[in-house]
Parts: sequence; C-alpha cells; structure tokens
Amino acid sequence: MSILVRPARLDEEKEDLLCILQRNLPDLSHTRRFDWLYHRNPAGAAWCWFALEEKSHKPVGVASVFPRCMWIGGASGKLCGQVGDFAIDAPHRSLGPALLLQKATFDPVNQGKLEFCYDCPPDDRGMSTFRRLGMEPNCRLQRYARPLRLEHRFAKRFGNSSVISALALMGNLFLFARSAAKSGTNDFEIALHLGPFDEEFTTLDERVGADDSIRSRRSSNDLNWRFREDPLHQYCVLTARRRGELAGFLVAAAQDRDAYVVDLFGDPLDRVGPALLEALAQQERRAKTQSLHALALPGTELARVLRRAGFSEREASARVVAYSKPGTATSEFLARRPQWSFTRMDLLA
Amino acid sequence: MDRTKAADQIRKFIVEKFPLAKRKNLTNTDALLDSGILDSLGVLDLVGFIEKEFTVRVSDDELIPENFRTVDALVIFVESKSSNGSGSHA
Repeated sequence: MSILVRPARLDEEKEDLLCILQRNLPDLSHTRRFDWLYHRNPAGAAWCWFALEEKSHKPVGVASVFPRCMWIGGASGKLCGQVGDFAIDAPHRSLGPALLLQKATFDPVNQGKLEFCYDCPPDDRGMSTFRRLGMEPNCRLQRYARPLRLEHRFAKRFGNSSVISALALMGNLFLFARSAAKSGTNDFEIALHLGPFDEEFTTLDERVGADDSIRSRRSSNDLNWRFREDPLHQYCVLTARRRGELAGFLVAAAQDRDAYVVDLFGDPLDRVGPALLEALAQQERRAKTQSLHALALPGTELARVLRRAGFSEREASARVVAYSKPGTATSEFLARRPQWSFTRMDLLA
Repeated sequence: MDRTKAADQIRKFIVEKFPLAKRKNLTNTDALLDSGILDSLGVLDLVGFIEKEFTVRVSDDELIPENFRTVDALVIFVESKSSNGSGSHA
C-alpha cells in the first residue's frame, strides 16, 4: 500500500483534517481553534497536506505550516513558517509517510513563499524524520524554573503532616525573603494589561529590532491574534512603563499549580525583564502558584535575565530545526549559526 | 538467507530495544506498528540495525507500513533486498 501526499483544501476538507487531528492529538479541541489557527492568523492562512492511502484515498496523516512574521538579522516582516499539527495514524508510523509529509512542509520554502520553516520536536521521537533527512537542530531551548511556594512540593514528596506543613511554611518565608531582597527598586511602572495590544507594542517591537538574531515579530496584530484571540487559552499580560512610555511586557499562562512565562520582551531587556519577572512572582505568590517556569536558549539575554531573577536551569527542552532553500541569503545566514531569540511563544502552534 | 535465523535476530533486537515488545512476549506475527511497539523513531533504529546486520540499504520509499508490520514481514523485506543484490550499495 503506497502513500501519496498532496495539499489539503482547507475549506472543503476541514472535517477530514479535524478527524485525523482529533484521533491522534486528542488533548486539544481542534474544532474550536481551527478558524483562528488556520484562517485568522495575521501572517496569512496555513498550508496543509494530507498523506493518503494511494488506492482508497483515505487520509492517514496530516501536517501543516503556520506562517510567522519574523525578524531575521535586522530585517523585519520576513515571512517564515512553523510546522505543526503533524499527525499520522498508528498503523502508518513506519517513517516513510512522515518523511513524505515533512518534505511537503518544505514546499513553500522551496517555492520562495517562506524564508524558512521550522519545527520544534519536543523529544527524540520527533527528531526521527530530521535524522533520516540528515538535518541537525539549529538550537535547543532550556527550561528554567523558580520556586515560589513549597507546600505542594513538600506534601507530594513527604506526605501531609503538621511538621511538613510547618517546614513548608518556613521554606515559603525564606523564598519570600530572598525575593524581597532581589526586588529592590526600579523606575518602571508595572501594570496588568487587560485590553487589546495597540500600536505602542508595534513601536516597541521596531525599537528593539533584532540585529544579528532571529526572533518573532511582536506587532499589535501579531500579539492580539496570539494572546487575545486564542480560543483555547487565556493569558495574563503585565506591562512595564517608564515615564508613561512602554518599555516591555510579559505574558504568562497558568497551568495546574504553576505559571509559565510565555513571552518576555523589552528595551532594554536586562533592566525591564527582572522588574516584570519580580512583579509576576509577587502576583503569583498571592495566587498560591507553586513555581514559575520559562523557556530560553542558554547564552541569550533572556537566559541571563531569568537567572538574575532567581530562575535556575532545568532540563533541555524542545529543539528548533529549520529548513531554508539551499543557496539563498537566508540559508547562508542560518549557516552562520545566528542567535535564536525564542521563547515559549515560538513553540505554540 | 536463513529465514528462521533472520527472524530471531530481528525479534531479539526489537525485544531488547523496545520495552513494550518484551512485555508482550513478541512473536513473529505480532503487529509492530498498530500495537505501538514501533513508532517512527523505532523504525529509524530498526532500519539502522537491518542495514548493518544484513548489509542492505533501505531507501525512503521502502519505509512503508507493509515492510514493518510484523517480524515476518521484515524478514520477507530483508530477503527481497538481499536477493535483488541491493546489499552491495550500502
């Protein structure tokens, strides 16, 4: 039984696409996020491919590329793509169909529609097609964590007793004291941002630029789509202002008893970043959040800011594997191994 | 090629490498893909083993489910590769 891969017609074949995603990636409500993810992205509509059984034409796999506007080496508005919604029915996971789909995701790049596309395999399994294609990761993110409270961790490890509760309380006081010592004073006004992102965020994005690195663009349109219109997730946004002017922002999401820094951005990040992280820590401690987590690339400004704010390095996380058309300026730029300023936001579909 | 010996070699590799195969006491006719014993990374490891052990070269378009469905299917696949002389092109 051979497998064919062809582009999907997003409108006519939406139900087939949703069926494959729902049976292979059941943790997400694909129906609720479909229009937002596939059609309403300000960077453009998604590309999508089906893997089909040649004889029956029954879809057995799917892969998509979601457009992303990026800064590449100081130039803004470069259209790139993130590979996502990659799913293959179990009886067809013999690598061949996955390879065909992975190669199909390179098509918009080879056709000159995208500068590059990237995938973020979370584990070794996700690297199998790239290993077969002889592709190496461009970089690898690292998880950073900062404990805020200890009662849940202690209870999980040592059980519930009055002694353990007392020890956790002492631990909490120590963490609070350490945090108070770190916070000091800063000249930023930190506030919860409740409304849509407006043009001052676009201005901040342009002011920060990207020099010799690669990062996502953060225009007001990009941010509203990502953080305000997402039908499945809610985000908390903190802004930092200096004399009324926007200097930076932080986006966080709660999950179980923890909170995740989804994005942290500012000018200059080494000053505004710690102030925003400390404000988040204070807010989350009051909400009885146990730990803060963040993703960053070791050696970047963001990683240094996280460490200064009391985060410690934890395990290696997702890799970033990028494909660019050989012989292009982007391909040459990527070959020079530029810095990837990626955050958790860049891994979200 | 000795089919029984080839099947034993392949089954031994799978049982040692993939814990689910060991738990299921894998036979030559058990489903490898449908049961979740093999996934794409597992197939990649298995291809590496087959290429080394049987001196054959497996191309991308041979990475189809039919060739990896069971240990018996793998033996037939390896035998076909060996008999058509693809082994010298590794």
